[in-house]
Amino acid sequence: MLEEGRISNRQAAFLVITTILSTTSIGFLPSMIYQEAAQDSWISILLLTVYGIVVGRIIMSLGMRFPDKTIVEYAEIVTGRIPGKIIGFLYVLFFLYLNTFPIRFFGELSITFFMPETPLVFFLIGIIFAAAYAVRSGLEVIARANEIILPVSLTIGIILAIMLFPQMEIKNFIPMLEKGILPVFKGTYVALVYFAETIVMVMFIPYLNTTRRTRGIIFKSFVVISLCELLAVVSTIAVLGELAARIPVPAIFAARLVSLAELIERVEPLFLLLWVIAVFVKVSVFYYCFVLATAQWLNLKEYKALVLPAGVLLTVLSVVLWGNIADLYEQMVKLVPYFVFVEAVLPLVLLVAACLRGKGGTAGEN
Amino acid sequence: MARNVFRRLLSLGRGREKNKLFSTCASPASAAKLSRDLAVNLNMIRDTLGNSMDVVVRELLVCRTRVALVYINGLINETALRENVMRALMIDMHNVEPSPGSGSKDLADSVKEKVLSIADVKKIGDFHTVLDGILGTGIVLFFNGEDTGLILKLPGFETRSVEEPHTETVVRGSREGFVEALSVNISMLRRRIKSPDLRLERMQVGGVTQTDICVAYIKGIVNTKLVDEVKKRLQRIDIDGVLESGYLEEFIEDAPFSIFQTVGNTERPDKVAAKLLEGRVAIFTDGTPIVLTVPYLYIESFQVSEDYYSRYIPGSLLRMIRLLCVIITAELPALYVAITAYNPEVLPSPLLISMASSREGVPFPAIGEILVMGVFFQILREAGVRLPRPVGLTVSLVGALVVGEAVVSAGLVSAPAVIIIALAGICSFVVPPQSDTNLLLSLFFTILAGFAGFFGLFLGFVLVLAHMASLRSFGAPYLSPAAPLSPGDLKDTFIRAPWWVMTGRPRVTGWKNTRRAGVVSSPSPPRNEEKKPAHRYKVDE
Repeated sequence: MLEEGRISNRQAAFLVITTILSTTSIGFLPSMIYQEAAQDSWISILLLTVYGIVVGRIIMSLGMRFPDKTIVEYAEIVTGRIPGKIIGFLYVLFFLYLNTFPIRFFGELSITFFMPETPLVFFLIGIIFAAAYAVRSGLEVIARANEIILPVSLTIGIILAIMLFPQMEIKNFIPMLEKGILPVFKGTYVALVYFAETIVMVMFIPYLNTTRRTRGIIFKSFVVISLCELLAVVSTIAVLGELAARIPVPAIFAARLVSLAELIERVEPLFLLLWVIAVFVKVSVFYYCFVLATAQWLNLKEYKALVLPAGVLLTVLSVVLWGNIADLYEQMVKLVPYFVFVEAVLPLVLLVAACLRGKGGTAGEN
Repeated sequence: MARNVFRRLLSLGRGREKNKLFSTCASPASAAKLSRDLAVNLNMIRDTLGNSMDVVVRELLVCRTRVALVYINGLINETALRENVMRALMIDMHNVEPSPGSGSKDLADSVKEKVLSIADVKKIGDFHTVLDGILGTGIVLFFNGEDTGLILKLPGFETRSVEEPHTETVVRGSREGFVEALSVNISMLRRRIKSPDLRLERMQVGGVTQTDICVAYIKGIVNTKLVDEVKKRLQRIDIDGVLESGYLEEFIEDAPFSIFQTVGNTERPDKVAAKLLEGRVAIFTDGTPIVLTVPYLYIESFQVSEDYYSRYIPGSLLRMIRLLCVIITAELPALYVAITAYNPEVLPSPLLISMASSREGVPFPAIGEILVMGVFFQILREAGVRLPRPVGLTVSLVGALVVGEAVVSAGLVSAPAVIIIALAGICSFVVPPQSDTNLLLSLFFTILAGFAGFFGLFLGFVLVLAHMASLRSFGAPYLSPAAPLSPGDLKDTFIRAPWWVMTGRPRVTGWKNTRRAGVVSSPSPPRNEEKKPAHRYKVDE
């Protein structure tokens, strides 16, 4: 085993929640959904939740057939050596590539809102260094740090939402379904990638300390994710209305509007805190998955040696892949089908193949 | 990486692990048996101990046999020696029937059984035990013509009396603190835990000092693997002297390179008893009132014994205040730097204006102010701690009033910086076990905030959090019960739940025997109070 540590079901669920929430609720996603679905974004969120649960179930069913292996290992068992290696490599690339989005976005956001004259690389190196430290310390450490980070972030998020309450206007939600149902589906489409990030579970399942009730964590996580998501999207739309589509990070713009008793104003540092700690977890999780998947793909005995090169690779890729933030948005929408293929279709195919060929046990049924 | 290199450097000089460098029994005679000839034995003693002024060798004649008493002056109880040993040997001996030495039994046996009115008497045959006995508050008796001696334990050295602990004072609760003598400390613990399951295992460390240490735990509550691990780590220690439990701490701690301590220490017997009841192990060291407890979790530094003695509502409130103080100490200076240097717009305008006006004309950047004032505060503190009390007062007066005031009015440092350093400094005393750690954290955060504002500060947060999450103390995750989360144990963290709610031991240490109180024992008034009074008042006519 490459990883000695074991995490509990609760820790795994927490990791999934933070991973998904960090980009979707406080990141760029509300704006992306809003561009398509406008005031009906909350319906998109509900649809996305259903999608997330379905994909999550597929991923978990696949993973639980091989409770002591990761997808890189069992892809070979299911499909044979060469196709298995190709699928494994696909996931290695996927974990690397998907991670560059939040990292780059984090850097752009920090420059735009907090320190305009600082070079981009400075922020990237900072967050990647922190993540590298956590990844080197192992899965247990990421999971434990997240157990502090998630409650703190949720608290901050809820406090922000409460402070925005005076500015909210319910009329921003009407008329409902003004342009029919199509925009809602479009809004759902752009966010498909992020609600299927339960895919990280394919790397975590062998390191759970129990296989009992593991499937249940998907539903529980998505209840929390969905509620927080709704809170974020609804409060953003209620505060900003039409404006939400035109600014890259509506949540932070909303945070600027907070004004309570002329004492609590300009709470963006709180938002930055939320952003740093949540993105740290997300980046660490994908970083870890990438490093672990690479080590397994190459049959290494130790993944720690890969942490430093992987960090350098992440930094470079995050800088060179996109010219600016608009480019990043465009790419993100364009790449949705490919990501969905890796996150949802491929696991489904593998699951069907495993069932048909009778590979893997059915251990860990509820 | 650097850690490995450091380890390698450290281990360079460790080629000779097996032959212990230091040993009291350096002379070849140490392993030898006692001789039948008294003179040989005494010569051996004189050879080994040299002619130290405190070694007393008294020879006397008992029933026509030459007998010698050897002891160290000052370590033994002189009165008992006079009354129960000398008097018995020289006077009472003659009344013993049948006359000693004449029968089948040895003189040593008869003396042990019939003459000495002392509880702790042992027969010994080898020289090593003899030396241990003499050096460890005993009197050794040699009999001419016999190759066994007697060792009488009569400790009688001067000890400090039991006083209120200086480091952990309470308003409500026991006033007893540990002292330097191991036996006194252990008796204080025994008095609090009268269970037969309380185990106190003696060990010796320190090649030259031969310091007694004692590993205490409660069988049935403690994890036996933990006890084994503690003993294993203690046995590994190879050093010439252990003068304080801090020596042991450094040898047994899990994270020697971390700024966070992973071994707890206390001066209070009641606290040690409470820790043992939670399934921890305590390590007593002779010669110091500080007792170590393991495993040590981060949350323990917030737990003061008084929280458990006073009512739980104020107790919980104080917990949160302490947490707040830790945050203030570690982060307030850094926040000040981040705000003034990078994001002044986050302050409400009136406050921003008043801060800017007080900073006007200050020649240093915010980080310079904070660092200089921080160092200055620490110098004042250190001076106040080490000096005798009357002088210390002068130092604080001069420091605080004259220098603090003058620095601001001269315009070298702004008033907000002084306020912030003073506040952070005072808050650092609220949680004493962490005051040094928080100081370092504060420095770390301040420098990061000076480099990168809020981003640096928050990044520092995350790094420290990840570091803390990676720590373990004797197998227990350092941040538990928060991470890994164990919801039932949060009752004794940020709040202190009432005792009748805390029915289980913390799972991380008391995993085996988790029940500590009855489940339904919350206090409630008797239901039928109204109908039937418990007793009637008699009215005198």
